[in-house]
Amino acid sequence: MLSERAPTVLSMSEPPPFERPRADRPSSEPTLSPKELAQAKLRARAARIGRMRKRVIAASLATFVLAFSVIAIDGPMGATSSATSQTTASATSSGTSGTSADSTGSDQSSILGDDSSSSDGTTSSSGNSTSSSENQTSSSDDQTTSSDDGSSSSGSGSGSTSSSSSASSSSSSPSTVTTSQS
Amino acid sequence: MLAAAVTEHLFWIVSRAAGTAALLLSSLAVCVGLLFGGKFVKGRPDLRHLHEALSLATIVALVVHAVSLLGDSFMHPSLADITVPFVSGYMRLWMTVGIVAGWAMIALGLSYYVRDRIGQQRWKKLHRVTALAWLAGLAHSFGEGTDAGATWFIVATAIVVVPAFLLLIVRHLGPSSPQPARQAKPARPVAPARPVAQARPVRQEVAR
Repeated sequence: MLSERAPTVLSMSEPPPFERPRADRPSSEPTLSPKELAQAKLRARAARIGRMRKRVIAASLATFVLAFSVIAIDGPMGATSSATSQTTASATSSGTSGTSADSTGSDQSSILGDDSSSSDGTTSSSGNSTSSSENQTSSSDDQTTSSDDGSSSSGSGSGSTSSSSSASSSSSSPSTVTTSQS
Repeated sequence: MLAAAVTEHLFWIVSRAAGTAALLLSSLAVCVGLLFGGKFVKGRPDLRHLHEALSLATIVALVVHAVSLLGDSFMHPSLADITVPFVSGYMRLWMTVGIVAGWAMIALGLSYYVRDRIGQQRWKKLHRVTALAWLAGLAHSFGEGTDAGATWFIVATAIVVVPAFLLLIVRHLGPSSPQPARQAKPARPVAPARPVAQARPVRQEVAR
């Protein structure tokens, strides 16, 4: 109502250019009283608000489904933590199984490529993990065990405990195994 | 493979997706609220209803985000862990920030329906705190969220958060309109005391 322009003298004198004569209007359109006009406007407004609410609900559901799909594809633990979980899982499996030498070696080489440079045995493993002296001990044990066996069967009890504690401790045993083999 | 992973971590994924949806919806609600509250957009009264619908959708997403964590078999939190601040031992600070922000958003959002009891002016002042709750939720999602480092999450959040930030800054740093209106009110009773000779030219100007 207030947005309509106030009538000017010019507009009062001249008929509106696009307004059809009353006789040309369709007979089905009844002349609405102000009350009915207000009710019709209210109904149209309610329908508009209802449509908008439905669109918001649809958009919310779409956002949720989209986020769900992306998270499910990306990995349930996220991008960074899924890699960590894979590392931990492979380290644990290498510590517990201990019989599959090939799989253990491939896992460790894929996870920690830096261990290939550690050719000094116990000294190099202490360089990898300086904080844990127990890992040095376990790696030296593994070295002696593997030299006795001649294979890379490092699945002793100490190996399993070190692999479960951290990934770096489990990575020290394959490096020593490689050294003893070479 | 994918279905097995989803089934195994269903509640965890649902919670993360609902949290993401809550963050995006709340940012949109803040945007729309600042748009029509700060008179940036005129002639669109439907924005108020859009703001209301987005706020209600945010509340629903927040409830789903919290309740679905109860079914997670890995974290296995208790009801107190997800509803009471400083109870959960998992990332206590960010968890507390999220819980406080969630409760604040729910309470402030639903206070709209009892604003007659609260009082319009008091409710308007109270409603401004919602922006703080939104910022706390943002901090919670980036501080604790598993997807905080993911590119898709950062891009999706930035699309809605950056405009809301800009509008918030403009709203708080820009000229505030209610203060001049209040200062103009006491000047009204002074006007009739003016002499008639000064009032006449004003009337003529108005008539022209």
